[in-house]
Amino acid sequence: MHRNGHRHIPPVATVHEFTEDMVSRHAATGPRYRRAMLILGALFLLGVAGFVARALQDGFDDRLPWGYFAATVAYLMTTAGTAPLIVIGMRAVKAHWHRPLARIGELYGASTVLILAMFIPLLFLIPSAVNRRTLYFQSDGTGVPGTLGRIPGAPQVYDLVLLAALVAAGVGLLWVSSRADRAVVRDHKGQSPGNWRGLLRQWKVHKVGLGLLGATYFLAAIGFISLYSIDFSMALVPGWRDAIYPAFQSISGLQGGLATVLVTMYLLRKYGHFEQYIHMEHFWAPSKILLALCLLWFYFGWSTLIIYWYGRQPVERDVLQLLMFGPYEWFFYGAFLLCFVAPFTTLLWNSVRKSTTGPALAAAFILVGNLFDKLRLYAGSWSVPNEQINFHGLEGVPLVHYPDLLDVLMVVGGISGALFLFLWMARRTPVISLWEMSEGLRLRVVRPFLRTRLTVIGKSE
Amino acid sequence: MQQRVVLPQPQVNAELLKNALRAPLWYWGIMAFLGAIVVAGSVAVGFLMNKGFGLSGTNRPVMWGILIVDFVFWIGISHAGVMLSAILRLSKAEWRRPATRAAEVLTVFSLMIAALHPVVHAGRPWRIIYWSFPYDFSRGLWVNIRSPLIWDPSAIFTYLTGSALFVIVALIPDMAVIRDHTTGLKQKVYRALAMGWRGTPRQWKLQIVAGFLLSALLLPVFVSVHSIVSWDFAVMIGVEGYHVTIFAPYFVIGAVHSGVSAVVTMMILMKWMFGWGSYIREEHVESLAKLLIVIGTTWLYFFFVEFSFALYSMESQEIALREMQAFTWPYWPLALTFILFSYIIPIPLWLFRKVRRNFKIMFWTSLLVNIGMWLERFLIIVPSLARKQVWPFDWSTYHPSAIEVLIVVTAYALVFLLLMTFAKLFPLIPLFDIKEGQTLSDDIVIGKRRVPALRVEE
Amino acid sequence: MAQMLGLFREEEAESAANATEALEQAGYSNENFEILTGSPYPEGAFGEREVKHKLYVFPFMGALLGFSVAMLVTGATQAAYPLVVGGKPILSLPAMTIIAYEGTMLGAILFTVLGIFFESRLPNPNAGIYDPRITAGYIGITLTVADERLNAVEQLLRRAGAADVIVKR
Repeated sequence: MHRNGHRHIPPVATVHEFTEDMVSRHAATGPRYRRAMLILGALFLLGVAGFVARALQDGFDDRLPWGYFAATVAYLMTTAGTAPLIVIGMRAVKAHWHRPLARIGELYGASTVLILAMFIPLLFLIPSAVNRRTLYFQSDGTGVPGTLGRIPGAPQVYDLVLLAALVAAGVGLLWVSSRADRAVVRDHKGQSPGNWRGLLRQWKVHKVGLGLLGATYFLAAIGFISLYSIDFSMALVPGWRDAIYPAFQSISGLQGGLATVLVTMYLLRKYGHFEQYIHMEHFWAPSKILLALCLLWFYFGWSTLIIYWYGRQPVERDVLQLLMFGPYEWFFYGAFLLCFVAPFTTLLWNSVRKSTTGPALAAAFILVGNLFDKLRLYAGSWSVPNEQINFHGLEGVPLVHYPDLLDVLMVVGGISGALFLFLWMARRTPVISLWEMSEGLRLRVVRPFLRTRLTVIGKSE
Repeated sequence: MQQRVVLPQPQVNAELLKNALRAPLWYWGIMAFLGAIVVAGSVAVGFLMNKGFGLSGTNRPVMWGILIVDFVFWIGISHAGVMLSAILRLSKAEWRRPATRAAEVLTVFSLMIAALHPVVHAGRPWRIIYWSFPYDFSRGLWVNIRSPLIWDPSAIFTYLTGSALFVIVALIPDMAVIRDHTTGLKQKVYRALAMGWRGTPRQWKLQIVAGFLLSALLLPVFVSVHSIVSWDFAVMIGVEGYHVTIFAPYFVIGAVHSGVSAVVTMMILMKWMFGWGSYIREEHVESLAKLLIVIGTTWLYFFFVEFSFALYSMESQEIALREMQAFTWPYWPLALTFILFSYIIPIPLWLFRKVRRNFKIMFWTSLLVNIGMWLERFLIIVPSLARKQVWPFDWSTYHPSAIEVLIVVTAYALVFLLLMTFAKLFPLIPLFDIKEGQTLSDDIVIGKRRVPALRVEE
Repeated sequence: MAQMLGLFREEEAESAANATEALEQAGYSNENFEILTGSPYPEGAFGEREVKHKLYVFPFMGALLGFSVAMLVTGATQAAYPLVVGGKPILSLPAMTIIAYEGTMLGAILFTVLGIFFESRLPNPNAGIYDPRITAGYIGITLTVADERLNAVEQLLRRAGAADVIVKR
């Protein structure tokens, strides 16, 4: 403690101590961990059963029964699917606090496999892009303005290709990033080390690889969220022309991704006992970004609202009714409260941000709010009858479509599946990146400065 | 690798106050030249007011000409200050230090000049008060707060007040430096301006906290200002191409793109004019260029989405308008220049480290961005109005009159004149920020490598 | 009683820190002396007392005031001239929200700046002993010393490495 009451900086572990500790933790799987995997696995299987029952009961002709399932895909994409983006972004700007949360984000990259699996059935529920408002501008040659003629496979093929790229980049990112760590684990187990020897050249390739895969993942994720939100919700609602919507969903994705990482980090710290490596500063720094993302969530949503509210054309009023103030208004109010009001008023206070619980609580609000947001958007847009698909505007606002048991099973099962994948992958690679933390430990020292002590952080290029 | 130079404080004072304490002869030459343009422009404005706004090129249906284009442009430039100062301050980016003051001052002056444009455009400027001030000047008529033309003054007033105070608060320690380096009347003036600053730990702590707090408060204001400017256009349904939900963030990111580019141009000019090579270094311009790659690409995403969703409407009138903007004379050369200058030429060039660290190329390419972004505003505002009406006999186009061109040129001269005047009175690079950066710099040695590091209080 | 200012060269910051320790040993706690510097140093670098302030309260007060005024003005103008424009309600909340937002932020900013002046104890033209060398990099230690101890304290500061000591009665 400084002689005049200034803060105390905790001692930093050495690289060796840290590695030994992490490897021994990784070798053991606690009963609580196994129990969590079991429960999540069971819930996931129930979700699969719900999906099969829905397919048998309703088939793939009508979109209405699948609205909540489509919302789940959007939800997973804008939470687990965007968690790696936070790591990629923070690594790019060399934010030194990203190190303990990097692997958490990357592990969620594996959940893109589940998103892909859930996305494929949805392809059969979307009509062809011909003669309706899509970004593919297709017509059957009857002189519809601004169209390009026929592009085979639109929109399904393009969305699928983009998602496949996302999966490849997500899984690749996790594999490349954890390569060195898996070698460490193997060394400690006395197994063959594989190809990784830690040559300078390998490290160079490793860093460049992470950069390239990160950039690919970033572009594919923003691209897929944009396309999914257009093709699988906006284009299904006649009269809904909202240029900001894909960007709004991307921002919602960044917010959800950061929230996912923060909540996971909190649980890991609390129940996995990682207090030594995950400190308050690892919540404090991202909480400011989370606060900014909450404001952006409101700003993007508001930009739509104010334009439609001022436009007051019948098509605009109907869209506002369908998505905000009509059948799904409670979902909308829930999303507004939990994606903006609650986290904003929580994170506004520095004393709350400067804790581990405060940012995690705000993040938990966001995760629930994001689900409400996706439910109102997708349940709403998927309730529009297929006959109206190429109308100029809605012919009356559809009635509310309540979720049934199968919907609940699919929503819960989907989320459980993503979490199960996370836990399963976390058994295969250390949940805190060994190489990145070790690099951080080398680039960080605590030194005396006159009569106080300061942390010195190096930034290598 | 950063090229750190640790200079003693007297040297920092002497170099950065060089112009404020004793301006060279060329400085007065530039001031006289700019002053002459401003006088000519002022005469033009007086003439316009006396004879009426009919002297401008605006006519039915294009009632918004280059004065409004320039208004949007300068509002955009004004976004540089907060973007750089606030975001970089909040993220504790070290390379912000030489850039913040210049960016903040650019904000204040460009915002003042931006606000002058609609005043001149009103033709009878005194009526602005009657339209926008919430008071019943006659017969119980109150202003209509549902109109975005009321939101604009409220946003600009808030932003101007906030950013001016931001500059003033950060200037206090530097005024104390000038106070301590001058004599006579000058010293008396700076003594009053420094308000008794002594540099106690309390004053420094409040100065640092104030920087963060005002940054955090100004950030949401800066986003709101350009959003509201965009809603001047977007909340109406009468003009094709205006009623778009993405306008607000699209305008904001475009503004940041042009504003940060303007800061690059300005910093390089400062380096050349005042010989501040030790403070404005390659690494600073490089970092700004990297930031601009991200900003520019985000802007391109928004531009692409905005354009695509115009086509998405499948409405012939909207599609015809886009076709006109992009492919029809006289707009197509402007559209081509716009996209080449604002993205296609500069951004790919900035991907190369050598280019990012080359002052000359950075100067010219950052200038290109602003030419491009000015044209973008022109292409948004004018063609849409030209095709506002449904029937072709009501279509028209617009040519700016000489008087409008002169007023626009005057606006540039006036901003530059104000900046140069500021440079004569105060340091354009914050002295205390530079000195603090030197105090906080350190190294970490790993093997044979010396890694630049930063001391932080956590 | 007299005010004393010990000046230490920029490169001898360590000596200034030593001087504060020597002063504490001589019975002057860090409540009695003050450090003057030409640029910000990390908090606690010279063993000075921790600075407490309540600046964060100011923006909230301002925001509340600004919001209230803006809501009042926008509400009252619409109520005073109840003309329906473009089918929008007389009390148009979205429009009011925008002006209220600007009012809130303006209030918050104005109060923050007031708070900065108040908490920095500025303006204060006759704040106490000072020397222009502070802004040229010198580190100053000021304290109020009883007349009979003037010599002893001056010697203490000089022994610690002060380049100059100024006394003002």
